[in-house]
Amino acid sequence: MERMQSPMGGHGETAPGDLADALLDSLFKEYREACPDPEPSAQFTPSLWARIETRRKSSSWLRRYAEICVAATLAVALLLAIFVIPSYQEVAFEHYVDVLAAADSARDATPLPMNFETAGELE
Amino acid sequence: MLIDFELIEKAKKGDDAAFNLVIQAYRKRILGTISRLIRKPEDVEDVGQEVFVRLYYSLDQLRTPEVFEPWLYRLTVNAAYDYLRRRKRRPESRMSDMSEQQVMMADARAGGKHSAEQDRRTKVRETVQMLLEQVSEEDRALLMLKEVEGLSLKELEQIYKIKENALKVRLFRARQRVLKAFEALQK
Repeated sequence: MERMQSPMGGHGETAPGDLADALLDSLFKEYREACPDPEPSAQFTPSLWARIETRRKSSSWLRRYAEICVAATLAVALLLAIFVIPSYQEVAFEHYVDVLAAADSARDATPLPMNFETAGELE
Repeated sequence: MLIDFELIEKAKKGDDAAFNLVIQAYRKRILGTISRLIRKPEDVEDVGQEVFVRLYYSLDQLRTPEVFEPWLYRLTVNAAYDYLRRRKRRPESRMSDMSEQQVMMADARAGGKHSAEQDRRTKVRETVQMLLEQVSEEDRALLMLKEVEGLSLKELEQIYKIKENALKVRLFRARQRVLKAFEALQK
């Protein structure tokens, strides 16, 4: 095991400090021996595969759900593009043209007001 | 490495039999690391399974088989952190939450006898765990991986994705804090 030294590169530790350092190292080593790796139970691997399988199923269900949502969105967008938007535009343009035409004809048909009394002053 | 690179490549390509061999090779070591990180024997297998499930679904992102072990340790540390965070949010009182002494007394009452060697090991465990309480959860895991699991700085650099110098500083500070508590304990 690598012993940790000061990252600053100094060796300012006193002798008792070094002793404590060494004791701490051996304590960690003893701790490693006092906590051995536990033996996995017989059910560890089978239940692990069951978890993998469960997650695979739920993720494939999610993927299918997402695919259905995307397909439905595309279908709705396509329907809108084919039927709704062109007819809406037609109606909208018709109205706009009608309104313009109506406004024009109304303006042409309306005689300009003329004040005959002041007409002579203008001349 | 407990396995050869070829096996990792096969597992990476979706070979379940190869992945099963990876599990067989690493499960004991990973369970050991988890047990020392979370200190709840009854939850060790659950966290261990989570590590391997995450490994199964992320193995295709592994760049090269050479970094497999640091990758696996990274998943292990992350799963242990997640568990500890969850546990912090939901404090429960269970058998494992008793102090080791209480557990031993419960064992003794249940008819079990413990030897002097067991006593010494229990004392070592309690002392180290008490010393590690002096540092944050993250630094505790870092110290544990370095001092107890025996990982090299290079491996820790790959696990934590921190530059070696920054890692050295962090480890040094954490160790100094533990050392100070250890010296105080000895006085």
